[in-house]
Amino acid sequence: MAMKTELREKQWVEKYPDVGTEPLPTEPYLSQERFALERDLVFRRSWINVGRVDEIPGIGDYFVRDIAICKASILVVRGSDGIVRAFHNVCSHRSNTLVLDERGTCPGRLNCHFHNWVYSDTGELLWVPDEENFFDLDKRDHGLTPVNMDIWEGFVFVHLDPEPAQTLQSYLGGVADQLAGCPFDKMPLSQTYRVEERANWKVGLDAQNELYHFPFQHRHVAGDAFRTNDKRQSRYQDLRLYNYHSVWSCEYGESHKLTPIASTLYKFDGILRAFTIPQMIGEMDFFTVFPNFVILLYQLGTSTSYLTYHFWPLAVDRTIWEIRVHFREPLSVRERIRQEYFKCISRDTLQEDTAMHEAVHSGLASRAKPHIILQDNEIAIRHFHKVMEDRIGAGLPT
Amino acid sequence: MPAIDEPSLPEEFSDLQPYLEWALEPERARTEMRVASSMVEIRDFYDTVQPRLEAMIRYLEDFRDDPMPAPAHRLYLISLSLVEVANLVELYKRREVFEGCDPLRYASDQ
Ligand code: FES
Ligand SMILES: [Fe+2]
Repeated sequence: MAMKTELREKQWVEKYPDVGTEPLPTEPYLSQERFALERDLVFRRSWINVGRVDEIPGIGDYFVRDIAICKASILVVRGSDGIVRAFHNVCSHRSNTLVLDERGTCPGRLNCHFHNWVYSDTGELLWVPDEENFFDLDKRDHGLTPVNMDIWEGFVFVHLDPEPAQTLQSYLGGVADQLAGCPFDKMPLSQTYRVEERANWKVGLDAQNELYHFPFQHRHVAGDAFRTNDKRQSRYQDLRLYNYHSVWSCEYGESHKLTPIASTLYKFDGILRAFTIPQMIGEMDFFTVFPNFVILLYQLGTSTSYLTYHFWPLAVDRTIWEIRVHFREPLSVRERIRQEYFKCISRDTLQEDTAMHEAVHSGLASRAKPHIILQDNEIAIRHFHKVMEDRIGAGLPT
Repeated sequence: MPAIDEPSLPEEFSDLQPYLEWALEPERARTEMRVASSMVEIRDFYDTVQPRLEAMIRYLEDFRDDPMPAPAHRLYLISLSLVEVANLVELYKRREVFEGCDPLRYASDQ
């Protein structure tokens, strides 16, 4: 196959000179004050992905997602009218957390476990025990508190600002255009990993948001997996910086050798129907959706699939890295085992990543270095931090 | 546990009988088995099962539309344990990922 990747140096800063070339300060990974600003000006004022509609296909199905940095617990439920809504997962009586499990199905109503106030699956307050003993209580005024929610290609996003500055569609901008019609619904969730890391949330996101480290940190598993130049340095096939988001794409390397197990699993299995995604740019596309969400599309044999990452900040130096693995319904046993194989070898790579995120955070926390230094292939990291600075700068009182 | 008289693995794969303890689910149980095994055990498991993988897949394809009978299902789970340890034998040549965190931190929901 003809190579689409250009191998020359410093090509991306030529395309996007505005992101600059300067070193970036390390303090934003460490400062409590900065963490509070990220909470108030970024996480409370951005569209945050909390899951997918496929997770709640049936009437009364719900899931709960905590946006821990904002101390918010979000209940997403499909009501008896079939419509998906998001609410604060908080009872109107004395603010008990309403639903305690992470997912489930309610029989048309939700009960608070404290004094048994009952809500419909569309959020109205239906029943209050001993209602006569309250004072002028009008149930119509005390439904669940809705949270702004919108759905894009099956992804459920919420916005904690009661009046979002932008619609989800305009917020997603170029990402929404590029991935419009992408068949995410054909690739159901297969597995979720949640790893609590002793690192700032941006450390993990930065570490994932480049290909530079692959031939080194992942040399055993994926050292030659992606296209490199004659000095074995990674190069992108394409890179696009959007309003807040970015995507980089790459081609697989030609020299990548299959192991005995991989050769068996990638053998032609008689299935001629290749599953491809026309919205993809390269053979692997890494979309960073600001602030904390990643969609990673990749080819896998004759099939294509995707992972998502969420980086959920818990504290300035603690993060939950959530990894969701999706696969299409396998058409053969070989494909099913191949999916499992892909998941296992990815998990090994992720273990390398987690250890690295924590080691990087320790180094940053020593404050030995006031700056990090970025090269041209780390431009998506630079873009992310620029967006962050702009958001925080714009929100500060002048 | 297999019922009396029921073979624990399909007859064609009775040579894999010593590796029945790798027929585990869910995924986390296979990761725990990997963590609890020595490299000698892992290599022995790999060396026996990997050359049989193609035959296992061909055998299992016949059951793909039906619920698998228990012996076939055990065979299938052994194939999943094989891919769980694949990197250790094929790439790392040791029991642990290089500079990696504890695999059990990847707590799966399955
Ligand atoms: S707090 Fe929910 S019923 Fe009292
Ligand atoms: Fe990595």
